[in-house]
Order: sequence, then C-alpha cells, then structure tokens
Amino acid sequence: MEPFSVLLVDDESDFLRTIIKRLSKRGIEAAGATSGEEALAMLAERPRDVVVLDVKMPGMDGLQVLRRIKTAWPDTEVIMLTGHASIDTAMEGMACGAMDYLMKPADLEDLMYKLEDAVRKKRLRCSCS
Amino acid sequence: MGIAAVIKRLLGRPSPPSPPETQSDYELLFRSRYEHFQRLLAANNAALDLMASIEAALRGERHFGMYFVRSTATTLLAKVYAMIGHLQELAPGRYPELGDRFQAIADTIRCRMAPQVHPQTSALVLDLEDLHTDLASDVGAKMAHLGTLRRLGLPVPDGFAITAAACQAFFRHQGLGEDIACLVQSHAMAGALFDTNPDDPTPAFSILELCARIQAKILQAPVPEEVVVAIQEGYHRLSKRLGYAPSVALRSSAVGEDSAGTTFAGQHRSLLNLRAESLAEAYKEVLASKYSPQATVYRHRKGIREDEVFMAVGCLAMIGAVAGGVAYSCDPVDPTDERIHITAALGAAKGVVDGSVPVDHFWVARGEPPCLVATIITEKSWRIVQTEGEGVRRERVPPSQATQPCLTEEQSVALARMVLAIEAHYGTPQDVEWALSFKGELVILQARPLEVQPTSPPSPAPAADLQLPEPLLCAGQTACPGVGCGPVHFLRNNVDMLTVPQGAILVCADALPKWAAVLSQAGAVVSERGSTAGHLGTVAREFGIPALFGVEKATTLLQPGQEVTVDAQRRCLYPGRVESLLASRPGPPPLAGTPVYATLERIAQAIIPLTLTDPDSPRFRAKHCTTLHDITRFCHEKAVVEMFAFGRDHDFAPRASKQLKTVVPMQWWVLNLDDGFTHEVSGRFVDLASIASTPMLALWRGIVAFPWEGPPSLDGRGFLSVLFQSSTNPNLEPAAASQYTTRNYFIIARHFCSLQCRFGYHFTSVETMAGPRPRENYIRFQFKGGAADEARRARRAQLVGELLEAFHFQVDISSDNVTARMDDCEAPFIEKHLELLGHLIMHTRQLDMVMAQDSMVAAYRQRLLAQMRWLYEQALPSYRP
Repeated sequence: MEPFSVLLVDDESDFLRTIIKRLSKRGIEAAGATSGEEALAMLAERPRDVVVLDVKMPGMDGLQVLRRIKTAWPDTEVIMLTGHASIDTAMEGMACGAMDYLMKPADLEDLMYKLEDAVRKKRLRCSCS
Repeated sequence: MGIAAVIKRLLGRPSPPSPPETQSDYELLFRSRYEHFQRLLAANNAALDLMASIEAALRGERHFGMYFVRSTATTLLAKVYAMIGHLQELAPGRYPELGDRFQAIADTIRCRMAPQVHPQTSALVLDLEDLHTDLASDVGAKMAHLGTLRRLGLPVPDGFAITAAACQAFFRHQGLGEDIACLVQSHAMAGALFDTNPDDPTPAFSILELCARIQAKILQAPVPEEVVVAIQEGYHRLSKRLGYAPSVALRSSAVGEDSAGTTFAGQHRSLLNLRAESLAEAYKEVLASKYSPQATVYRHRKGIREDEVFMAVGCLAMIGAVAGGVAYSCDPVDPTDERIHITAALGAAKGVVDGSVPVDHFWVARGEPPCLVATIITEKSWRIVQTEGEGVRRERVPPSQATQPCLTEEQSVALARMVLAIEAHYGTPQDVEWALSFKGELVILQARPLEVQPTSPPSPAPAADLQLPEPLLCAGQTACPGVGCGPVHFLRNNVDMLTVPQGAILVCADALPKWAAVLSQAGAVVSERGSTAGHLGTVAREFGIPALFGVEKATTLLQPGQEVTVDAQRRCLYPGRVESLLASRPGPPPLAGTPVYATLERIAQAIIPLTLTDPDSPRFRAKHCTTLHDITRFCHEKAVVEMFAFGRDHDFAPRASKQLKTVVPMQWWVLNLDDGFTHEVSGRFVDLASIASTPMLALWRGIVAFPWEGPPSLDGRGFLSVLFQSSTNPNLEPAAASQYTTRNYFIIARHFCSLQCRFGYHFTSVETMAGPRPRENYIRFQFKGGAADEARRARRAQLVGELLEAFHFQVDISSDNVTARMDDCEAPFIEKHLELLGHLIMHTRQLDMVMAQDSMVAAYRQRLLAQMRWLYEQALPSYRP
C-alpha cells in the first residue's frame, strides 16, 4: 500500500506517544494532537488521509471535532477510538460520517487494517468523483 | 442528537450519483458498490464475533465486568449500524423499516443496560432511631441492621446515616461520576484489567494506578453544599441527644454491602475518632474507598455493577474501647461447631478486623445459661487506641496488661447472649463487631450475616491413601479451606502487590484487608497474624482462596520463589507440588446470577436470537427483524442479492454474472466483484483458467477431487420420507426444486469467495476471506435442510458437524442446521480447509436419505473421513488433525 498520513487525537499523551511510535515503526506517517483545537490547526496546515479521534477530551469534544473535520475536509476519513462506551455517542459518531467506532484498548493490528481500509475508501471515493 | 435523529440521517442520505453512462463510470460505480459490500461483510463478521463472545460469556467461559458488557454492546451497535448504512448504499431506499427496527432494538438495549438499583428516598441524612431493615437500599445494610438492633433493645452507639441519595448527589455534582466512568473505560489497560480470563495474569500495577487516579479525583471534588449542611444538622441533632459534642466514627455502609454472599468485608473505609469540623473531608475519604483496589477487584470478581453501588455512610458516636473484636455465632468453616466464637483484642475492634494485633479467643457453648467452654489467651503486645486529637494509632501494651484476658467469663457470656439474640432475630448465623467501653459496657458496633462454608471439612489428619511428603510446617487456623500450590511471594508493602505472580502463595505477617486486592490471583494465602474473623479471611472464603492464618514464623521459614503446596484444611504446608492434594481443588465461583451477568443476559435477548432464518419465507422482511442478529442476517442476505442484481439490472456485460464452463453436471454462476478474474471476461461464460480467486479455486479443487457416485441408493423408508416431505412442503414442489437444483452461485474477488448452493432440497453456503491479513481471514460455513424427515436430516447434520470438528472447525449444530467457522489464520491453512468443504458439499448431497441405519451412517462417515484425510495430506502434510 502507498504511504499515507494519520493524525491521532487524544488527550492522553502517554497513549499518543506509544501508538505514534508503534505506527511509525510500521512505516506510517503518524502525528498526534492532544486536543480538538490543536488537531484542527494541524489539519489546516496540512490535511491528512485519516484521523483517529478520541471522544472525551477537555475543550472541544470528539463529536464536535468530527463535524468540523467532515465539513472542512470531507475526504478525510475519521475513525473514532475511545474508552467512551456510550451507545448514543457511537450512533451519533457514525451518523456524522465516522468510518468506525472502536473501543479502547484496540489491538494495533486491527487498527492498522482499519487505517488501510480507510485510505482505500478515501482514494476510491476520490477517483469516483 | 437522539437515536431517532441519527436514523433519519442514515435513511435520508443522498442517493448515489445518477446512472453512469460510460463503461468506465460503470466500472467505478461497481467498484464502489464492491467496497460497500466488502465492508458490509467485514462488519457482519465483526458483529457475529461479538455475538459469539457474548454467548461464550453467558456460558461461563470467561469472567467479565461491565466494561465488557458496555463496550461489546456499543461496538456491536456501531457494526450493525454500519451494515445498514452499507446496504442503504447498495439499495437506496429499499428497506426503510430497517432503520425503525434498529432504533427500537437499540433503545431496548440501552434501557436494559441501565442500572436497576436506585436510591428510594431523597433524604440526605437519616437519624439512627428512624432506621430499619426496609431502608437498606438507602442507608446500606450495615446501618439498617444497626437501627434494627437498637429497636431490639441492644446497646448500639447513637448516630445517623448519610444516605445513598447524598452519595448520588456527590457523584452527580459537576459530572464527577461520568468523569470516573470514563477514566475506568478509557484506561489503556481496562480490557485486560477487568476482563481477564481468570487464568491470565492480572496486571496488578494498572489496577492500583487506576484506583489511585480515581480516588484522587474524588478527594479533589467538592462536597455539594446541601450535603455538607445535612451532615452538620445531623451532627447537631446527635450532640443534642447525647448532651455533648462527641467525636464520631464514619463507617462505610454501601448499599448492597453485607448481604449474604457479598459482605464487602473491609473493602471500604471506616474512619475513627473524628471531630465535627473534619466530617465533610472524611466523608469524601469514605466515598473514595469505593474505588480502593480491593473494593474494585471485589466488585469485579463478584459481578457487582459499579453504578449500582451507592456508598451510604454511618456517622456514629465513638465508643472509647478498652477491648473490642468480632463474635461469630458459629464456626464459618465448620457449621457443625455451633459454639459462639469470640475474637478479642485490646483497644479498638479494628485491630481484629484488620488482622494487625494479637488476639484472644473465647468459645461459648449454647444453652441456658450459655457457658464459656474454651479460651486461648495470648500475649497481646499491641493495641489500637484513640489519639488525643483525631484518629487512632497502634501502641505497645504495658506488659502487666498484655497477658490479661480481654473479657471476663461474665462479659463473654453476656456478649454471647447478645449474639444469640441477634441470630434469633435474623434467623441466620451472624458476624458481630463489638466493643467493651471504659465503663465496662458491651456495645454492638455492627452485625451482618455470616457466610458459612456449605461443606464440613474433612478430618484434620491426612487421609492415609494420600502419599504426602514431610510437611514444612503444620500450624495456624483455617480461614478458608482448600489446597493451593505455587511460588511463595511475600507481601510486605504496596510494591509487593505489583509483582504478585499468577497463582502465588501469598505470605504476609499481618492479614491486612488491603491484600484482598491481589487475592484473586493467588493460589493461597498464609499469614503469621490475623484470624478467621478478619476481613481478609472473609474475602478469602468468598473468593474460595485457601487461607491459613496464624502460622507463626511463616515469613522466616519460607523463601520467596520456593514452590509450596498449602493445605489450609489440614493446616499444613508441603514442599513442591503435591498433586494428590491438588486434585480436588474447586474452580472460582461462577458469575451466573450476579447483577453484571443479569445485565448481559437482559441485553442478549435483544441481540442473539435469530428469528429470520429462511430467506424464502414471506416473514423474511425488514419489518420482522426483532434482534441485532436478525438485522445482520437480513442485511447480509439482501446485500448478496443486490450484488447479483446489479450486473443483471444494468445489463452491463463485464460485471454480469457468468456461467462457469465445466464438466461438473450442474450450473455454476460466477459474479466477479473486483479482481476475481485474471483478465476482463466478456460474454456469458467464464472458464476455470480465467479464475484468479484463490479461495474459489480451493473450493473447486475439493468439489472435483473425487467423482460423485450419484445419489446414494435409497432404502425404502428414505424414499417414502422424501415423497412425504415433497407432498407437504410447498417449497419442495418439483418445479421449484428444478429451479434450485440447477444454480449455484460464486461471488468472488481475489481473496474472497462466497458460494451459495442449492442441491435439491438443501442449502449450503460458504463465505471466506483468504488474504494477506491473517486476522481478517475466516471461513463461515452453513449447511441446512434436506428432503428427508427431520430425524434423518438431523443425523446428517450431526455427521457433517463431526467431520468438520475433526478438521479444526468450530462447529455448532442445532437440529438440521450446521454452522462451522474458522478464524484468524494464514491463507494456505484456509485454502486447505476450503478444499475439504468443497469435497463435503459435493458428497453429502442427499445423504439424509440413507441416514436411517447406523451401519450406513458409519460406512459413509468412514469413507468421507478417509477421503478428507487423503485430501488434507496432499499439499500440506504438516497440518494434520
């Protein structure tokens, strides 16, 4: 698969550091943001193929960030990855265009596959339109 | 946004782009549809896996907590929602009822997952004189019982209860409760932490870390003003009743605590000797102890929902105690011993329940009058006393007092009478905490049901037929009978709790309640001090962990890492592993019947049952979906139909299904989703050489591996049975049958293949992924129906199931329906098993008709098994079943 870029958004900086390190080892260009605001600023600087987004964060919450991303960068695929086991939030996330709603702790292998699928979906859609 | 709005949005999605005009537009549209189809299948598999894990949990194959229940339900709903979305893309607007059904089911699941326990009264504080047993759900059993004892005329300290409603107000204040729930759920180790298989090592470190974080959050949070005021008013009324401003004890009295089977013994905090001005801060400390590591592990182990535990707190006037302790109305490990057993320490009763000071024992026989029949008086070098300002401390006992009994004969008999009165009132054995005041008055601090081991212990002498080695030592008191074996691990401090190996024999000086946090991962626990009556002993009995207390010099005689076998029943430790003793060790208590289990059971009813089974039935409609399983089944079936329909409806040659050119005398149709052909194939036919789909080719190798010998010759009854079925089952009309007999469908991509076969009267489907991602590879096989009577069909299903089980498949058989699955393996392994399935599909056709005689069944089984073995060994001899 061609290289692609991922932005991970989570207020747990330990979690971010670990997962970015592990994704980078697998040759994926991964960056992290610890808040929704920071994530939107980073995307404005340079859009990414996929965003992995936590739900519960201080400041702007994950669903708000998701809506902003889907408005400003509709081609960016968003995967929710969270410890927030709320049915309503999950449904709303999916309805706002998230590609999937994964529960922590996620298996890295599964996350990798999801990222690849997201990129494939995005590229396919771009070639369609 | 509510679910209703979400569903509207789902169904109100813009329809796909207007019909494409050029071939390459078609190609792109088809590819996009394939993408949706593929992701629908992936979501379907993920959903089925989640359902399987729910079923496994309900069968008792794993221990689980609310983390598992919540995250499984949430993920499952997200997957099913995604399936509906993908089907919507494949067939815009065609199944509008699906969204309504999904919404109804999601609502049901959400309601059933909500906590079932709520505070009954809104009062924040209730005085002791107003308490009785019916208020247990508001003030906790401990305080409710104390109110009852007061009514019985027993001496109890005066005070008041801070209710469950106050606790709820605290956790609701500023969203604290939600923050905590999130902290638990999103803790990086939560899954491993709370849902480990009991055989896996528990990462104790993260439990302690998580609990510390939650407790810190609670201690930082403010107590809501109305609660502070209510506590102050309660204290004021208490002072007025007593005629002085007392120092008080705050005692946890969690709702759900202290009922039989769930004592929460020592899981929560009690704070002694407090001044009025510290009450609000101390109240938070008691609330925070809901998240002590031992309480958190305890709830998980006992299947108790976090959100159904409300920490009510008792605020009681302090009794200055010269002695205190615990009295059991019978022996908890030997119910045949009905003597009242009093354990007593100098100073506060806390010394006994904490297992931290030496104790005296008194046994009082029932009768009128009760009679002191035995005593053990030890040298009580330490006691717990109130300090001048606040709190308590451990101090040395002056030598002159250390050897004096804690109670006189008269006092022990008087105490026994009170214990018997309490037992008579409740009608069950009791565990009573008591104190002897400086004025020489006995006071009852609390009473709760005593857990009694159901079986009487065997005789202490080792049975003669057990070949036992020379014991390392024989001493102590049985706190929980049983046998454990493992490496010795010393518990001296909190750091030692982080490094407990799975199955370790915990060895400690004091039987402290906090060790309970690591108890469930231990093989046994041995302590130098502490007694059966302590909290650790109670929890050990509830968890079924063998416990031997009062083993002097255990920490000097045993070496860390040394493997020992502890026989807590016979009170002996042996070197190494003594298999003859271990043979009879029981497993951990099952979850069934606990609140967590009941929650999963409730939501499973809206998830698991499959009511839409037959796609040909008129009931197979979106509006008849009643469970998530129904929706997945419906979406899957319709997605397959839509994929075939596309090529046909659009008359788009390269993407229409094609007939396979083959000598096998049946019609095989192939729909290429993406890259299943080696090159673009035009026209109506495709030959095998043009097939690139590796799983389809594997199935085909199995299909043609052996020539089919034609339908088995019928025994007379078999033929009649077919005739009978044909005349009663409208689906078996000859015309319909001939339509079914001719067509078998492959839907393929490079690594994907779905095969649907209708041979005569039965239906077989295989769906498989055999690509480069082992974790996503799978086989799902289903085999159903037949023309013969039910018994014969069932017998054939049994045969097919047995054959598949012999070759690594996970098989599930219900009446004439066989499902088999295989997951998470390398592509060559999958392909090998597809060959077997291809063979099985071809050679079990119409076998149901000859299934009457056991001898014939055996013959067929033997032949099929031999052929499958041969096939299996052809290319991959290393994978031998």
